[in-house]
Amino acid sequence: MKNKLKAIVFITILTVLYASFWLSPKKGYSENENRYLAQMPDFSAESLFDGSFTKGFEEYVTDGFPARDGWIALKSRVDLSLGRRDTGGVYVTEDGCLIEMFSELDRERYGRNLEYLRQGKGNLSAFGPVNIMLVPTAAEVWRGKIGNSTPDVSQRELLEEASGLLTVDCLSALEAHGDEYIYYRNDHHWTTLGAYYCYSALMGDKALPYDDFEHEILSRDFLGTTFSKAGIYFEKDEIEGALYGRPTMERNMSGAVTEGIYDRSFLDKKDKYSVFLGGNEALTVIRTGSEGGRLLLVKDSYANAFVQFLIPHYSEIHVVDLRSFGMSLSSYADEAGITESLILYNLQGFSRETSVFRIGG
Amino acid sequence: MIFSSPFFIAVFLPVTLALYYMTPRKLKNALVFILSLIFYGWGEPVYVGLMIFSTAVDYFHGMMVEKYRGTGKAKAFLWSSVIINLSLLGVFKYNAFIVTAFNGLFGLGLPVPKLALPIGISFYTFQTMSYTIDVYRGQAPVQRNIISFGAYVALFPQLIAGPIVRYKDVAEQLESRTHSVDKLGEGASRFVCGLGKKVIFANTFGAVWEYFKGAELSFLGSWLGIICFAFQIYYDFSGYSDMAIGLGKMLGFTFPENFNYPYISRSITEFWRRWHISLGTWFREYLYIPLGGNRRGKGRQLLNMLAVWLFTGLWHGAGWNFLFWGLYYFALLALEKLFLLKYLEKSRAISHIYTLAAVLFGWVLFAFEDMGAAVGYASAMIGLKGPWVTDGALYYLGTLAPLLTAAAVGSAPVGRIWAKLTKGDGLPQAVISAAAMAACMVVALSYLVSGTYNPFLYFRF
Repeated sequence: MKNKLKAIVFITILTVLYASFWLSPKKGYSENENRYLAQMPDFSAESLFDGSFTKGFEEYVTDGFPARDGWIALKSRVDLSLGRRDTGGVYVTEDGCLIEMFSELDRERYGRNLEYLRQGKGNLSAFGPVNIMLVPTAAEVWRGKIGNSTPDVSQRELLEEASGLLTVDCLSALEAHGDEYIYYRNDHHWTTLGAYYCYSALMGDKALPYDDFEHEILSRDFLGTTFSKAGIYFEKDEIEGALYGRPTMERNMSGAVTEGIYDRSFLDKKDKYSVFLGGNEALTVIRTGSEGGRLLLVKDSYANAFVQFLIPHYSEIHVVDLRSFGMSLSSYADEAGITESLILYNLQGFSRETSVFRIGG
Repeated sequence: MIFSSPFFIAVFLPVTLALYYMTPRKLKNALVFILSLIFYGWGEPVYVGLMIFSTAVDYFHGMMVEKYRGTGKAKAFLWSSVIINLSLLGVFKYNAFIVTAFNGLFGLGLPVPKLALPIGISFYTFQTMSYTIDVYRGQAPVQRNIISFGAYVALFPQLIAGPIVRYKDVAEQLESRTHSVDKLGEGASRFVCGLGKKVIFANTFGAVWEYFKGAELSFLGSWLGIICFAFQIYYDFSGYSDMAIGLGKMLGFTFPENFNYPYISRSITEFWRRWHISLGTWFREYLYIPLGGNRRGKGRQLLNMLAVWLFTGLWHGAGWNFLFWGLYYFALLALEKLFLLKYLEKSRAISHIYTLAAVLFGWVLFAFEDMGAAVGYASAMIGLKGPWVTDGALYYLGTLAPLLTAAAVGSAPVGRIWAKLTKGDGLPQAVISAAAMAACMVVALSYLVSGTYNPFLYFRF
C-alpha cells in the first residue's frame, strides 16, 4: 500500500505541475522582479543546434512556473525555519527588515573605480567645487540588527580607503541616527530621512531644518527589491516626499517639462521608489525656481531621493546617470554652464559599477 | 538537461512517464532510446552525434567479437574498441591537458585546443567499453538489436552522472523487465529523496563553499568551508545516483547502488568501497584484475594500484590537481595495505577521525585547480595561515548549525531508522511516507523555482 500511495501522490504532483504550467496565464513582465520574463523561444534548425532553443525553453519553464512568487516565499520560510538568517541574498533581521547582503566584493574593480573617481574629480574641478559622497548601505549601518558577526565586507574599511576623495562622512551621519527609519525595510535604498541626514552633513550650516520641507506620505505599501529577493515581508514601507518650492523637470532633453520632481504614476506600480525623478534617466534637468548656481549631479538611484533637499540651494540641477548617459561629461558641464558638481553613489553599487570610468571622460 | 531543473520535473518527466506507460512493451526500448537522445541532445545538440557514434562502434565491435569468438580476430576487435573509446576520451576530454603537458615537457608552443567537453562522455564511454569486454569474456550475450543496445548506452537516467551501469548488470532487463505500480512508487520516492539531497543540501552547502573559497582564510573558516564542500559533493553525487536509480526503477530497471554512507568509513580502503561504487567496480574489473590484481606479489600489486589511481584521478577531470588527488589516494591506500590497517582496527574513534581528516584534505586537492591555492587553503586548516576565526566563519557556523547537523546525521545510515518507523504496510505508514515524500518534493521545488545556486558538478568528469 505504501508504494502504491506514493505512486499515486507522485503522479498527481507531476500531473498538476504539468497541467498548471501550460494552463496558467503567462506574464510578459514581472513587476515584482522588475524584469521581462523569458518567453517561449522560436524554433528553428539554427536555434536548435546552437542550443538557444532548449536553453530558452528551460528559462521559459522556470520563469513561467505557476505561482512563482509563492514558491520563492516558501523557500525563504524553509530557510528561516532551518535557522538561517539570510535567504536569496538578503538578511532577515529580528525586527523584520530585509537587508541586502554585501559579502562579495570585486576589490580590483573597486580600486579602479576609485581611480576613475579621482580623475573625474580633477576634470570636473574646472567647473567649480566637486563634492563626492559614497553612501554605506544598510548592511553596514544596521549591522547590529543582523547580528554581531556577518560575512559582509567592512564598508567602513572601504570608505577609509576612499577617504581622501570623499567630502562627506556619510557613515557617521547615518550611524548617529541608526535607530531611526533611515533605510527601507523591504528595499535596498535609503529613505528620505536617511538622505536628509547626509544632506545635512554635506551642507553643514547652510542645511535647512527638516521641517522647512513640506512632507507628504507618497505611499504606505511599498515593497521593494529586497522583498522581491526574499519573497516575504513583515511590514510594508512608507515613502515620504520632501517638497520645496515649485520645481520642474525635463528628461533627456525631450522638451517636455513636468511640474514637480515626482512621477506619481510609479505609485501604482511595484517599483514605487521610482516616484523620485521617475527612476534613472540618462539626463534629468531640474529647474528649481530657487536662487543659486548650476549643479551637476553624477549619481545612481540613491541620489533620486536626495535631490529633493538640493532644490533650495541651486537654480538648476543637471542629474546624470552614467549607465546610460552617452555624452562626454566635461563637454556637457561646459555647455550647461555648471558651477558646482556632486558625485553620489551607494557604496555597494559603486563597488561593482561598470560605467564609472566615464566620470573621467 | 539535468534532473534538478523545473523543466525536467514539470515537462520532460511527466511526458516521458505518460508515453512510456502507454507504449506497448515491444516498443518501450525504442521509446527509451528516442527519449534519451532528446534528453542528451537537449543540452548537447551537436555532441549527441558523438554518443551515437560511440554506440554504433561498440554495437559493431560486439558483433565482431561474437563472430570471431575464439580466434585472434576477436581479441583484435576487443582492442580496437578499447582504443577507439579511449581515443574519444583523449580527443574530447584530455585534448587541452595533453597538449599543455607536451608543450611544457618539450618547450613547444602548440596551440591549445578549446573543445567543449561533451557531458557524460566519461560515463558512456566506460559503459560501452564494458559491453565489448563483457561480450569478449563471455560474461554477457551479444546484443543484436541496435535499438536495445542504443537504449542501454543512452539510457537517460544514468547517462550524465552515473551510476556506471555495466552491460551485464542490465542485459537481461533490456529484454524482459517488469513494471508495476509498486515499482513506480518505490522509484518515485527514491527520485524525490535524491532531488531533496541535491537541491536542499548540496546546493546550500555549495553556495557557502563558494563564499569560503573566495573569502579571507581562517582556521575555522577553512574547516567549515571544506566540510561544506564535502557535504556538497556527497549530497550532490549521491543525490544524482538516487535520482538515477529512482528513475530507472520507474522505467522497470534495477541499477546497482553507487554510495553506501562513505563518511562513516574507518579507513580509506573502506571509504573507497563505499564512495562511487560503480566506478571502483569498473576499475577493479576492467583494469586492476586484468593487470594481475594482487596475484603477482606485493610489488606488482602496488604498481597495479598506482595505475588504477592515476586513472581514477584523471577520470575526474583533465587537470593536474585530479592527478595528484589520485596519487594522494594511492599513497594512503598503499600505506594502509602495507601496515596501517592493522593499527586502524584498534581504535574506532581514531580510525574514524583519521579517515575523515584524510578525505577532507583530499577534497582540498580536488577542489582547487591551482596547487598554490590548495596549499594555501590547507595551511589555513592546520593553523599556519590567517586568523583563527573570521566574522563570516562565525556567521555561517551559527546559521548553518541545524543544516550541518542534519547533513551529518543524514550521511550515516539513519535511513534504516526511518524504515523501521514506517515498517509495515498499513494505511498509517503509507500516509506518513507518502506525505514525507510530497513535502520533500514541494520544498525541493521551492528551491528550484527560486533559481538560486544550482550547479552541475560533473561537467568535468
